[in-house]
Amino acid sequence: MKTIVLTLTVFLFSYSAFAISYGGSAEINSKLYKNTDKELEKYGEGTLSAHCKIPFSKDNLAYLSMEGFVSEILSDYANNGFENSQKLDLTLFKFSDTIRLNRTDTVVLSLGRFMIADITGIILGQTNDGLMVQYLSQRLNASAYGGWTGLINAQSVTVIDCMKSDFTYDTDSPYDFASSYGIFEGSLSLPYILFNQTISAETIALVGTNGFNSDNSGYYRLYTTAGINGPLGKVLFYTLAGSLCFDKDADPGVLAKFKADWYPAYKSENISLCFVYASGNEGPFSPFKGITSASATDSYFESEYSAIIKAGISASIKPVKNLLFYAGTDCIYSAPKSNFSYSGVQFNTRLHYQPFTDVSIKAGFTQYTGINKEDNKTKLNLSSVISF
Amino acid sequence: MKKLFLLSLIFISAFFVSAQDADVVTEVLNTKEVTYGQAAYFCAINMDIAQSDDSYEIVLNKLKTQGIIEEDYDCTKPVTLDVLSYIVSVAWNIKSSLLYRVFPCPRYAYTMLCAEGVISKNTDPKQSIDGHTFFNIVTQCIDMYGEKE
Repeated sequence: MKTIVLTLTVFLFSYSAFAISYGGSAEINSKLYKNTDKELEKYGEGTLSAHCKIPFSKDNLAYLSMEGFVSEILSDYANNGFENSQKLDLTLFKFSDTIRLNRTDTVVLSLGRFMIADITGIILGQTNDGLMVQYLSQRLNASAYGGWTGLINAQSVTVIDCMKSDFTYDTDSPYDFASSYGIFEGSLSLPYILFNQTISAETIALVGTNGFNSDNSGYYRLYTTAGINGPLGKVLFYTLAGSLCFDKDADPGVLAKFKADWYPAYKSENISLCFVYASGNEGPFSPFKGITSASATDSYFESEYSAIIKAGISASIKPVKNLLFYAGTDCIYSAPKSNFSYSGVQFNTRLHYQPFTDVSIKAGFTQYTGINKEDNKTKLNLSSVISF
Repeated sequence: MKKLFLLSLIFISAFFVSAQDADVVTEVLNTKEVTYGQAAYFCAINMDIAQSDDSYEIVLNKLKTQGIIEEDYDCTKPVTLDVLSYIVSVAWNIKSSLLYRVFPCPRYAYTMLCAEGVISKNTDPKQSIDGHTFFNIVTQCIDMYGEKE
């Protein structure tokens, strides 16, 4: 095995006639959490990451890029004393090649581990191992993707399992395999087709497979998504998307998202309105289930985008070149059983200061106040990164 | 005045001081690979350590004498993007990177100018550049870091 890796490394480095670019970063991240009835919880993480890009052509159209990190974590939940753990991951290992068919049309091939996401940005957003083929032209963009989740790190990515999944993993291990599913995606979009609007359609299939830590064979979830986005004038942009989920073991679920962004062209200001609806148990629908686990709220139990209505407004501004200030608030309605009812409100604010181009300091405050005080959470976090 | 003079060299127009300056600009605009000598010429003029009628060898020697560059670069060889970044960073006193301040070298000068948006991130630090790209970089430096009049 070592011989194979060494041979491959020598081959790659000698095959590339162009300069290899590389770099890394060191980050410290600390958080304090407080729930109404619990003790103060503390979390600290030190991360060392590295990245490398090996071009295989002079114009950088063919390249191999890699990125990974190792983390040391100290956490104290419920005042039981600090526990330490480690996490390591290879977040990027992608061979990419761009083939120019003519002046306007290109085909892009991507093979390996890289980030994939869907039109809504809610259903799917994770690193995954697979192959993507994209056709890009002025009138039509199309893509097809096939991949498998069985090798990615369960410590970094959580796939939303089927109800009957037997997935377990070693929580003390820095790297353990995630629940195994095949992900297949096909999309079409017509850029600027009408009044500069872009229309998109996408289908995703999540197919259960047998893996190292789970056997999800025979299960599937299908998603059909349509979206439209574009400008409404010079400084106002919007995105509207809706998705139907067909689950083998449940009734269909629905997801809808609307987002409007206003850029007033003052100090890089941005004001956003966002509305998300994910179906609960109502009528013919069942609670919506995405693919990648993602927190919809900042509550103590960090609920998923399922049986939830979230409406909010946020704003950001750069008063000076290297300082960004962000503030946002959301109102949450949830349907734990049947009808939607008010659940809580959240507020978060962040300050991002970059004293140098390779040094970044972030400070943030989050407050969730809910109908049930068990959901309440106050969070402070501070992080700093230096890139080299 | 220095900014106006340098801008005049870059944009072919009626502001040329002499026919020789027009020749230099035309020569660099048309080249597919800007050389060390050509890159050093424009940066040295901005630093007021060379005259417009100095040859490329003289300009490079002046930069080496002043300690701005340490290596003996061949003035006829294509300049790489990272070395150009370093020369440009010294010429316009660009120090927005902590690691560049601590370890001034072509590598950190290149990443600094990428972060500042002067150089595209989708480039190879060891690649050569054409005349148009070179003047894009120089004009961005003049706009962002030049003396405000």
